[in-house]
Amino acid sequence: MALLATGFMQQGVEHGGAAAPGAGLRVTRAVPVVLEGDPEPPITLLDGRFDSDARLPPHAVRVHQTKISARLDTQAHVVHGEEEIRWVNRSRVAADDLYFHLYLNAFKNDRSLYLREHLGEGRGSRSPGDWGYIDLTRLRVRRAGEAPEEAVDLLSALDRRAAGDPEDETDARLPLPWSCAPGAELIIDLGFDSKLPTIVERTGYLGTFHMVAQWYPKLARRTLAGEWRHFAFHRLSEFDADFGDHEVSIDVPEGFVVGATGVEVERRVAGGRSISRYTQGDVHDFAWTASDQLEERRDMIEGVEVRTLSPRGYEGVAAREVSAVRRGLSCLGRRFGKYPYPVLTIVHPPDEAEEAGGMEYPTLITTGGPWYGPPRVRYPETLAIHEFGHQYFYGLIATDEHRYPFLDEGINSYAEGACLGEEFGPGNAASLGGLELAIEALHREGALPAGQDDVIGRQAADFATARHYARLVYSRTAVLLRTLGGAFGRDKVDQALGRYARAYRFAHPDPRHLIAAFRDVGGEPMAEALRVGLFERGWVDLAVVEVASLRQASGSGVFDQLAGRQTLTPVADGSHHVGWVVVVRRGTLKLPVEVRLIFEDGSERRERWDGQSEWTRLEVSSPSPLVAAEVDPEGLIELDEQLANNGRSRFPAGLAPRVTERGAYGTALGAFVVAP
Amino acid sequence: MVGFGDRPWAMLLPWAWIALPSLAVGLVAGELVGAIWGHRFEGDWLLWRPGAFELLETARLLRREGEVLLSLGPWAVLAYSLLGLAPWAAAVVAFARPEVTGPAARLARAVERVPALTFVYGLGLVGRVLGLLVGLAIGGLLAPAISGPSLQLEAAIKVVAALVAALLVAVVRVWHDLATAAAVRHQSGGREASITALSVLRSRFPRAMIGWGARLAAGAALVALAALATGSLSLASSRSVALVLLLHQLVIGALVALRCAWLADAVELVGRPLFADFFDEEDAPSPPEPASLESREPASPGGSEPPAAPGAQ
Repeated sequence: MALLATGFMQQGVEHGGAAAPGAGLRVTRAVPVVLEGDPEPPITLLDGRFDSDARLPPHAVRVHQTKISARLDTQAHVVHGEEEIRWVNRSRVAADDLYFHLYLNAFKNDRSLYLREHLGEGRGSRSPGDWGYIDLTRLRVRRAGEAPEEAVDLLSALDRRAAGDPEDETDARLPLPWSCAPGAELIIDLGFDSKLPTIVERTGYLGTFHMVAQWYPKLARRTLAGEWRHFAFHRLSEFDADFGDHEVSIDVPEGFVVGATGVEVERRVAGGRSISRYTQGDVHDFAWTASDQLEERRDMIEGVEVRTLSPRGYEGVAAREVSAVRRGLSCLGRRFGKYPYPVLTIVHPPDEAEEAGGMEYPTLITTGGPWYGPPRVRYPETLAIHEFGHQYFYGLIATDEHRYPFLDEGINSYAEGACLGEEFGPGNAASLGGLELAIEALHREGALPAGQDDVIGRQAADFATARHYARLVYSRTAVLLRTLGGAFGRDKVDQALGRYARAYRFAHPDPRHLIAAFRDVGGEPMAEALRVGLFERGWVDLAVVEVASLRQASGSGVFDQLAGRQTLTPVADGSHHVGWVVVVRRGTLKLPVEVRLIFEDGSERRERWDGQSEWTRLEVSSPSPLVAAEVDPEGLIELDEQLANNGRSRFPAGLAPRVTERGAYGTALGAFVVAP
Repeated sequence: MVGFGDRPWAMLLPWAWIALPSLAVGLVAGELVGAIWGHRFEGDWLLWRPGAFELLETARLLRREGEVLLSLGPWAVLAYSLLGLAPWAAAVVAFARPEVTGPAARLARAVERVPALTFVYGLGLVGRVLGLLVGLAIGGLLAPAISGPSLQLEAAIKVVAALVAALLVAVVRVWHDLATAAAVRHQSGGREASITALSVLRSRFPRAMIGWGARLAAGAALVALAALATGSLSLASSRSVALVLLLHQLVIGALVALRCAWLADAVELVGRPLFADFFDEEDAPSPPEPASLESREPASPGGSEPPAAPGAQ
């Protein structure tokens, strides 16, 4: 079954174009967004059983066991690795090949797909000062039950350009000499040297600080239907992988602090080296950091050991991040199910390594930002809770970040605002001098300019610019969910998200699972609004276009009655007035809203409009004249394109008195600064 | 000695220089915002709603105007600042030359000093920029170099750098005011006034800085108090808006008075021309000393009498 978004769209299909001699023209256009294949897992009815943690699965289906032995050369910035993957074909189809992601090759040269993409300024837009790459030194495969010496050397068979791009080496295909039947196990033995780049995006080194992410040969995810979800590393793309058990030993110079995915189960020092062993089950990635410049802080929160590594002098901001994670463990645990791992590591990279910050890995997050900053500007809290939120939307609900980035970034942006709102109210972004700034307001300002350009539900690599990706995937998704909450009830949206998160923990749902969850909780109108909002550039602009009031008068004119014909003249009844309001709904999102009627004597009346028609006219008879009307008076429809036209008064003011006063005062105070 | 207390009306022209343009700016801003929100029942009260949705929308809708403002802003501020030379100098005339009475006459005398004051103004700008550069150099170059791997030491040095920059800018500000006072008081050229101010600053540094800083602190306290007082007002009715407008204008008036009081101090500090014999005969400032000042500070243009301590009475 396919869900097809209509019309428009963007990049993806290339066409040759007429070009001037000597000049090249490459045209890319939007392609339709298609949801194809059977949903995996099958969509089930999400009822009240998923409102609590009672049915949470304790573990993921283990697809692989990955053991790595890594030794960091801090001078050459190279990780020498030995890796063994025991992979089980959990699909229903025999596997004839394997796909590996070799993401560090994105930084091997400037011809990689990642570095070739011109998507505008922003994170990841700079070339590395020192190249990074991954060299495979050994690749042998054997079937379970076979002796190690029976393994087949397949290093030369590896096709490093599996994505079809002749210059990109981040996606590699390994044809197998035999078919791997469903349920059968392969043992893959690898040797590799990962040269880290200077920090580009997420990974690399800066001096002695090493953020080692996307660093080892990693199997792509294979669906139940036997499709490998492999892709080249695009600048805007994140990841997708199967759950498995990880055991990694990390060998660094003595004196280096290590933070990694999972639990440290052993540490020993020998020959000037410190060797730690980390293990973690039910995760789909492994990242670590090592530096001799980091200080450690440990907190025990709700049974989770929170370990924070930050540069010296960053104790204040680290404390704020721990506090945010404390809020996250409580708030997100209540909303989406208890955090299942015993540890969480927070890494605050040095300022100059900021591109390593703001990233999520299983049980390890990276934050960022300067050591200073006003306490009431909540950037550290926002970043920390956002990255922690990814432990759910990415970590536990392991959606395909490449295909459907809004499923992790967008839902997480919504959750981040909700949790910070619980603690800080409408000033959850900043509270400064009487100004309460909401994260949701910032999301709205980000979301609106891009809403007409493209759909939210596009795959990461197909967005026209990094700006569109950020505005649509993060901001517009969050604003859409807030809008649905405003229209249909915040509790319903939260309930739907909670059921979706609990039902698909340790699974790989797609947008159809999310829409079905909304249908189960809020009915078809809520689900349809979500679908239109995600895949059809759904938008809305509510406006009051007319407000009027007349004194009610008795009938006048010629009337034929039993007593004969009467000609009546109008007699004004000063005690009653007839007023009317016309409200229009522009756009494609049909959302129920409230209309507020305001009368001259200060009284008010509220009417509900289902928003299904293009416009509605409300006529009201009252003792006091109608003076104004507002649609969506509480500002619940945050996706509304224009707030200024949401109300209309019969007696509009030409001048904004408060702005006049404050503008004059502010200017006067400023004049003292420039007084000669 | 003539101080601010003797010439309260001296603040009239500076007050007008501040109040009239600021009111114009307020009206333009009010008109622009009124065009957006004026037809809403709550009007621009919505801009202060918690969450700031409407405020951000206003910023987006007025983005073009904002860009124009940003591009023209620095030049407009410079022009406005230069236009303030005469009104503020007129206030100084009132303290330095009490025989000149009436705003028009004071303004006329002040306008005569504008070339010298412009020179002082330019030097002041350069001085402030240099002060900021010194702070930036300490913070940006020295701090990482001398702090080694210690981020805490680096942070501390950066804080010190910011304080040094602020202090240097403040010193230049005080020097600027003293030079303005000297230029008016002695009817001297910009160069002479600058040197006089420098000498006064060197010999009476604590008094000058305290005199200026005390007024600055009082002004800041006043602004904070006003913010506290108006913070509790709802601004929901036109009456409360009018009340706040009045209160804010009183604050502006008080701030002008504080600055005038400092300028009166500055006039007293520059007292008589210092190192008058330093200048050539024809360059030497030879102001016709006002009677009231002459009685305290016998003028000796070109004389060889050792200079009294600046501001000595």
